[in-house]
Amino acid sequence: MAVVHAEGNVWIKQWDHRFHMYGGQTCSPLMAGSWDDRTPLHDAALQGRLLPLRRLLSQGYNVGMATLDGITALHEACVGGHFTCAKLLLEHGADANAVTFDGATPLFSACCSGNPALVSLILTHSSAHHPAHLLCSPLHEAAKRGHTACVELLLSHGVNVDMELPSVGTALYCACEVKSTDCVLTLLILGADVQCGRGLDTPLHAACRVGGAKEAELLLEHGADRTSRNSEGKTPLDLTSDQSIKHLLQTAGTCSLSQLCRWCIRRSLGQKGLNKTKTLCLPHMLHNYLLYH
Amino acid sequence: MPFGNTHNLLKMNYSAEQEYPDLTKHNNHMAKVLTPEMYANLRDKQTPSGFTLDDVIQTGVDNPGHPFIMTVGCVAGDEETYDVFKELLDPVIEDRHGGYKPTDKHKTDLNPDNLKGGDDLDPNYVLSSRVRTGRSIRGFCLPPHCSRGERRGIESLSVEALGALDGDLKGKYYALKDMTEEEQQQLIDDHFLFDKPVSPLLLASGMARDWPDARGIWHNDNKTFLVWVNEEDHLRVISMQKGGNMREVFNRFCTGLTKIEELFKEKGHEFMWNEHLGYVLTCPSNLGTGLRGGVHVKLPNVSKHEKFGEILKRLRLQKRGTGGVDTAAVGGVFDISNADRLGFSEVELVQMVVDGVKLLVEMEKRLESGQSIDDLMPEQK
Repeated sequence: MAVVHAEGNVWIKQWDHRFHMYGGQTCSPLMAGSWDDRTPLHDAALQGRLLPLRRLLSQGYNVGMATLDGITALHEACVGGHFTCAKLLLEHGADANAVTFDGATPLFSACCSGNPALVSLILTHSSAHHPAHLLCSPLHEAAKRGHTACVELLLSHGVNVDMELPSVGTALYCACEVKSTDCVLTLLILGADVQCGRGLDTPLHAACRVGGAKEAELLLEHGADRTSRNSEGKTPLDLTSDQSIKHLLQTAGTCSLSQLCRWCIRRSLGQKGLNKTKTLCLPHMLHNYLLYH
Repeated sequence: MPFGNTHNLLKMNYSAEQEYPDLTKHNNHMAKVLTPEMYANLRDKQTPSGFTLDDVIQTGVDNPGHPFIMTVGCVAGDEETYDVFKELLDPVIEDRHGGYKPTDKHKTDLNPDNLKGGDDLDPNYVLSSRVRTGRSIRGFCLPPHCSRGERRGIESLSVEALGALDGDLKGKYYALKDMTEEEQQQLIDDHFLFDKPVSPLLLASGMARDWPDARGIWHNDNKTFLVWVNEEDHLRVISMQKGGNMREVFNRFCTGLTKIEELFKEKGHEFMWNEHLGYVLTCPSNLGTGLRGGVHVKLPNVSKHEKFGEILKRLRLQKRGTGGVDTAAVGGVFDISNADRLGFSEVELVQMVVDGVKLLVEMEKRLESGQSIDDLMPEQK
């Protein structure tokens, strides 16, 4: 045991020495290329190699060691989608609210990889409302990549479903752009405003532009306005060359009173209101009616 | 050698299929280019010094890469690597350097008089300026492959050449293995010291063998001109100073580099260079000029602009962090440098940095006073 203890001390000295040498950085910034500043900890975390990660941490490696761009091992574990590694890093004091130079949080990185268990883990250690998310939004990233389960998790933690990023749009708009049908459906059911897209461009404009027939159909079922004009004065019909979408837009008839009432009520309630309807003692029939069950 | 594939002949007892690396989880240029057929064609080849295909790709095999960051995934062990393994390296170079073709010619221009402006970047915003590159000495293997004797030969030649510099370039060499604690501390304080790499990508290429043997740092008395010996390349050279006078930095860079090259030639040695690839360095990402001209510049407002990324792209610039545990505490300071290396001359690349940073600072001032920058939006260069 004495030998093991001594060895531990030697290792701690070595890592501390490096940390001190570069003023808290992983290598000299003077000449560093884009990969010089990644440490064995980053490498193990990114690739989900639990054994070296555990060993490095037990030897005293600084869990918060960041690259020149502020990327920590936790960011890399999240990028790689590695739940167990992320959990280990958090147990060793990794900062779940760390922000990279590009504005990415571990939550953002987790939404890139799309592992719901990992996203859930990070949400228990960090705020879903981090100011950095106005720049790199986890919700938009999950929507863009079609990670529906992550979208649900974020919304259940109170993320604003209609958050619009400049030049990006809303999460619903992003999901339409990439024709992520499941994501579009989930966002709509969980309270996304069907008319909020990117400026005057609505989600229906986006769906028509990329030929997303299923998405267009879903949007119309949830009250999308076929006659909306974007900043160029164009309606969704003007943006599509897809015959089935054209047919869909041209033949969509008058909505039933039941449908109109549902849309009106849902729009009045908004995301938060819809979320709270679960706690009301509503008849099942009414509950299913409002929530599209 | 632990990093070498010195048993290339033995490998021929196994089929190409059996030897072909598993690249299924990889995201680097090498993995995208290296087909089983290419591997079969090239695997029995080696350069005159004995560098093989598996030597070239080992670092890319051992480091799958990153979902969002493309590495090249290969290294050169000597100058001839780029010829013998042309079939692999040409498409990697084309991918990495914006479509640079095997028939393209590189431009070299180390005449600082050709730089326009650059002496007037606002020092209230531009905190420091620097230009760096690398050089390889012809006739020696590159760091992933060189022997201890070669490495010591490079150190010896370099120390001799650098020792002959005079005037404002006069300086001193510090061998890593002989450094006193005081010298070490001073180099740390100056941010000049380098240590054995910890990056798995660099270690896997073999360039940290025998560390710290024959590695060292030389800098001039004014601490504005620095040379690293046997780090990732034979020589890494950097000219730098506080403030925004990039012209003075580039002037010193060209003067110093030219003098060093002349001194090497007097000893019968020259730098690796050819008209297609320009200056040849260890990593295919650093061919041509191998030059990175950059500044540390305060851009707290521009950096929050929605088009910041697009602006940099159009100016052919890239940004990096400046380190620091909490970037907010560093007050929006960015390391802005040229994105290209090959296909443009040294003057052209530094010119892009000078013109681009000037524009960025102007944009910053506009935004500071609440004005729009829409009319300043640059065209794609």
